[in-house]
Amino acid sequence: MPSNSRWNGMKPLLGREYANARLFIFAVPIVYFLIVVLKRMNNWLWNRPSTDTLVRLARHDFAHGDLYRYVYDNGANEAGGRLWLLLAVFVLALVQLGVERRNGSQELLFSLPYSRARVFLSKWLLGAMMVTGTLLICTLADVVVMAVSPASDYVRLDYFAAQFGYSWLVVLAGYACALLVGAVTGSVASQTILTWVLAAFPIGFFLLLDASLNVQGIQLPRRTHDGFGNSYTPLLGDRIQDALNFIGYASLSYTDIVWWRALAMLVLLGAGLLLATGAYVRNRVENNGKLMLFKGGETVLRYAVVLCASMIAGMVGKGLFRLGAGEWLGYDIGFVLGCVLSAFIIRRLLRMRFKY
Amino acid sequence: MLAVRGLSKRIDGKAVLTEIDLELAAGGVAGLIGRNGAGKTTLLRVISGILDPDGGEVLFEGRSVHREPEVKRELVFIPDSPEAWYGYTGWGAAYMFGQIYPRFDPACFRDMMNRLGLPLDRNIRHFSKGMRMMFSTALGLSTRAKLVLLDEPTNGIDPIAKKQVLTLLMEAAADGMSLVVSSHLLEELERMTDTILLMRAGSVEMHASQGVADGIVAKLQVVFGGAAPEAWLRSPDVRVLEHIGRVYTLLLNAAPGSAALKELEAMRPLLMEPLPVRLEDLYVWKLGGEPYAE
Amino acid sequence: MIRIDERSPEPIYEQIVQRFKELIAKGALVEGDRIPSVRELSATLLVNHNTVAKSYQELERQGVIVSLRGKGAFVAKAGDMPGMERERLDRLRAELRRIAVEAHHLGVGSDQLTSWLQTDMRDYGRDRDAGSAGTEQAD
Repeated sequence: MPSNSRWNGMKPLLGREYANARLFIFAVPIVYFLIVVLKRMNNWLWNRPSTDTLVRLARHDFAHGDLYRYVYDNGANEAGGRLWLLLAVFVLALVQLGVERRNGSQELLFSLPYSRARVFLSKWLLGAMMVTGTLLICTLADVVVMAVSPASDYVRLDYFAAQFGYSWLVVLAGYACALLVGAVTGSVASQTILTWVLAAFPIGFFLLLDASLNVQGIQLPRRTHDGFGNSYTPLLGDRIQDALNFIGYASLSYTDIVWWRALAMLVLLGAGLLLATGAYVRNRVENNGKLMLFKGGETVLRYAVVLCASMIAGMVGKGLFRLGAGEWLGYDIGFVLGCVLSAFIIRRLLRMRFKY
Repeated sequence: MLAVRGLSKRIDGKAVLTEIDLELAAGGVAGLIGRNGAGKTTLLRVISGILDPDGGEVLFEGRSVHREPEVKRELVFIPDSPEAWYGYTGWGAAYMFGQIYPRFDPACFRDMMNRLGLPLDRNIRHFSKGMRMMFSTALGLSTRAKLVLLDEPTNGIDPIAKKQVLTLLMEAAADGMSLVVSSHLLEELERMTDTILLMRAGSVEMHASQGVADGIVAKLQVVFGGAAPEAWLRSPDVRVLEHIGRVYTLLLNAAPGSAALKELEAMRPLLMEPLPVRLEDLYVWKLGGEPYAE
Repeated sequence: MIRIDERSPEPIYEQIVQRFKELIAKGALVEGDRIPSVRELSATLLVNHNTVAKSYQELERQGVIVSLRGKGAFVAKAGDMPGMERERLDRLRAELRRIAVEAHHLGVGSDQLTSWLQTDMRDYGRDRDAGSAGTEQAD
């Protein structure tokens, strides 16, 4: 098929996606503008910078690191903007996948003469266009603001280019993951909960696992970054957690943006998109409304929920029953109770169908 | 034109469609009937590619609708509730369909909407249930696609509008579009269709609409001479439709090899008058004893 | 103008054939009148277009209507197609014979039968417009 007809095939799908999310798509760049560009204008145009800063600016005596700290706030604006965009793409993924399952939209889309991969691609394209457009416009506006500010000598195009590229990767990787969750869950509720649980998972799970092992008398090696051995995160977990913690990637300050982190986001973006497309193509429409669309997903969710719920119940048990035998007994009682109870509840939940 | 081969679908561990085979020729009107929960909507949703089959395939003009979705440019499904169009106006929906279906005819759409008395510039969300159904039927027929599947197109609409919608269907069929209509309007379907697809516990039986019950079931009005033969009346080859005084209205198994008619003749009833057999009688004969699947 | 009787055991396509012949016999449709297209009749009666088409083919075969390509179908001149006419006359003759036999068994005399036939001929038959027989009908 020639590329022109390929594009013509996308037009009605994109048009429909756009019509469904129209208001939202305009709200996103506006809020991003407030967070990033307006803040910059506030700092440099409307509020007079401190005399000290102005003197230093005039003297050009910023060392490399200082420049980004004093002039660019370490990239805090962009980090905040990234978090907002991540929230936005999460909501967009919810509208595009979770909501369409229950309002007849998916039925219409799947009955059209398009492959599901193309339907999915049109959804992703809309989100990608929204993110790219927002970042592009606001970065350009940001450059202009800097160029007319008292700090105009310090407009660093490599700073803006790096922030633009990194933000684009992080937000689109997050979007791909949100779409993946949306493509394997069957309802708005489970998509919402699972997305947030996954985002919090790296921090929460290692804390829980470490505490649980501690009760059982197993000590993982500690990192002693405060010099007194007072850190509560085990050494290995700390590294893994750092590498897996998506929110950490999003809130990096400028000087911490390094190549391997950008590369990790690129890999996440690619893998997320691939898996999400695969899941969407195999969409079990008849399971819409359930927690999970696929048998495999149900199994993973069941074990994960039982494991986490048992550990949490164990920690609660440890606090409740202070028995002579030591805290492990209370933990074990809680663990077993939690295990049985959560296994029962998740079994029931997996069978239910939800309106949303 | 449409060939369904060995189609199976399980939902929640329950077999909804089992090994369905059917073949529809171009230019015909097929009526899909069956009790609630028999799998009519599921069958239409699998044929239109909304659901993936667990086994078997759906071929439209020899090409699989699931593997080559572009063949659906000539196959349109009209669901029983057009919620998907909330937020659109008639024109908005027509604009989108115009981009998708190569032979979509906006003039035809406008004409149908006018005849049905539906505004083209009002949000579909603000239509009543019946108006939405009429709108989506008009939209689907305006694609001028070779095959249109309609899931209960007269659901929730008043008798006058019902006649209008059925008129649109008949015109489309006369223009050469093939239709599959799922409905409970047995009387109308019998006249409008040339094929009846009778669904029962996940499988489909095909019958020609003309003489739909020939060789399957006979309908008779009978008055017995003496006491009514209770045991015979309860036999599987006989079903009592009505019983007023001494007059019985019976359905008899008329399949070759059934002895029901001969047995009745042997009893020498006072009156034995054949009645015309309608689709409704076939429906009762085939499905009358079935409980709802749901 | 055409009505379908749901309760009749007669197949729908035969009902349509019969109704058209009645309308023509009554004079409601005269030679040269355009009859509804298959599409129109199918849509008004809510009857499958293949069924309507079959009726029209039968009417055409019997010489009751003629269809002109691209223009539609029209009521034909009575007895326009001699071959057809012969067959139909034979059938009519056989029908009368059957009625005579039935009348014999019911004890209906020929006077009674003739008076019935005359009544029907007055309503449908050629007696009514005998005066204008042979006069060409203007379109």
